Amino acid sequence: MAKVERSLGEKLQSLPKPVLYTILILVTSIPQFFPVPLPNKESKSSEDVFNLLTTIPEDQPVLIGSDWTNSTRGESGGLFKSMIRILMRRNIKFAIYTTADPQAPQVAKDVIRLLNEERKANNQKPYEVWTDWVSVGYFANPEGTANSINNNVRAAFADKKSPDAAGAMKPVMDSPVLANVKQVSDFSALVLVTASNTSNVTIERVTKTKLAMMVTGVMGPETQVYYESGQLKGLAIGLKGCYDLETMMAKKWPGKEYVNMDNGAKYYPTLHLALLLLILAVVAGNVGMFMTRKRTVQRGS
Amino acid sequence: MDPELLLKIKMGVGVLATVGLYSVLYRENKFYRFWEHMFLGLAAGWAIVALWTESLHDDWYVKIVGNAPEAGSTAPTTPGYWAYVLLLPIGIMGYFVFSRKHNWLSRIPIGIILGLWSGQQVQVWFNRYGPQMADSIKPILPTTSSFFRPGTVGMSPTDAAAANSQVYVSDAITNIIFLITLLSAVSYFLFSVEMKNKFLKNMTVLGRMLLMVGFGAIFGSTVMMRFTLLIDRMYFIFIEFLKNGLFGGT
Repeated sequence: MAKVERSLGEKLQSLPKPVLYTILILVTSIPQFFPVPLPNKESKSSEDVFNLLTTIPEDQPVLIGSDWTNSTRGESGGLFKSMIRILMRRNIKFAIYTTADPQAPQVAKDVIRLLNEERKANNQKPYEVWTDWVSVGYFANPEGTANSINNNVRAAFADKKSPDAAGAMKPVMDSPVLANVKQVSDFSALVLVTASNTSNVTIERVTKTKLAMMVTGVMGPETQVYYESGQLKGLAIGLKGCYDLETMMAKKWPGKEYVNMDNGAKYYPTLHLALLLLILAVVAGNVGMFMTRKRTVQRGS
Repeated sequence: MDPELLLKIKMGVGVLATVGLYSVLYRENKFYRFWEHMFLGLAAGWAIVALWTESLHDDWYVKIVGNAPEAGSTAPTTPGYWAYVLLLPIGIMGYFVFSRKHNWLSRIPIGIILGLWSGQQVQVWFNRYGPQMADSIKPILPTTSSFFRPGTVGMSPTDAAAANSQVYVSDAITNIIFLITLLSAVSYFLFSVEMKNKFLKNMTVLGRMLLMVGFGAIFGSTVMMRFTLLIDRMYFIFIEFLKNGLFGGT
């Protein structure tokens, strides 16, 4: 049986998947060896997150919801690191809680450990657990926890323990971070770094303190409406939000002792090339479709 | 063991797991299955331990047996409340969903959860959508001749609030687009009235097209996020593990 010769149009519409995946892996790998700084215009929602974090009073702690794990490290990890770096530079105490995934508290602790190593390397004081920050841990019920935090945060965290400076487990509410917190409004803000539905759960239930969010790109459009309506005081979305925060940090803290550019600067140029590849693939598929149609019409006539 | 070597071994396992999980893109294979089951097992094991240590132990078990605070703590001594033990049979009833004869028992905990959930819904709904409905009333006339909103980074909170209180020309245009989008998208969902009027018909068509634009934006964000996750994995393999780990010595 004679082999049917495929036209260029047909070939363009059916590029083999392994070829496409190989090109994609090359496009997302090689540029990472050659980092290029990109110009950036910060979005207003990212600006508002930055303004919130850089203007909140230093004597009030921040409550952080850390609902992300390594599966979204590319986006959530970068956003979380930027936020923690800002808080550390301003000597603001913070407490971290999780309602989405039991792995999340450990992931957050690992990031803080890395940032502390970075601070030590730059001759800055490391952030001490118990004195400067505490991990409140994991809560199994997001809805009940959010209600409880809004109505009686001391009761919500009453059973949780954290190691103190000497390593002994003690109730988190006894820590210098939370000792003066009587209600959720005693936190200067609740900043939620999330890759899950806990964004909606928190918006629906926590109303007594300022709320800001750092979400993944896929959650951006659905969360943007809460920012536009004023329910969120700031919103950083995905890698763009991360790069926005890093750009603004570099402007505010230009000194060499500060690490400002991280995940955002590392991944943003590569993302552009990956998107360019996607656009080229769409164009190739459409050109192929029109070529095939034209050929079919010519044959018919 | 040398901590640096241990770190490299751990990262090497991470690289194998990453390559194994991505190998499904070529075809279903045993290498992929192995790492998939490894990941599921680890996640499930971690979740079970975390549920006990971070949730059930402190929020349930300690409440049954009571709590004597450690030396130096200001927390009061709390007596044990045996009634918390009643939560266990209620929870176990949920598993009777697998029994044909006694599955009615599973409806009791489901009913309790539904009741608690339903009781919150009025307030929850309003907290979520109330401010959005109020914010739908937007100014469409500018209050300043400046076209764009200025950047507020570095401004004092008062100056930033003053800058944000103005309706710039670009804001007014955005608000007009918002208003048209809102009305046309809502009109698309008016199924109980037959759209005979030409204007209303065109509104619903416009609503459908704008909804598609919205879905397109959501799809675009999704693609960007997936690319970022892939870029992060490639960074882990090529930069963190190979360049900095194996060949960089850090």
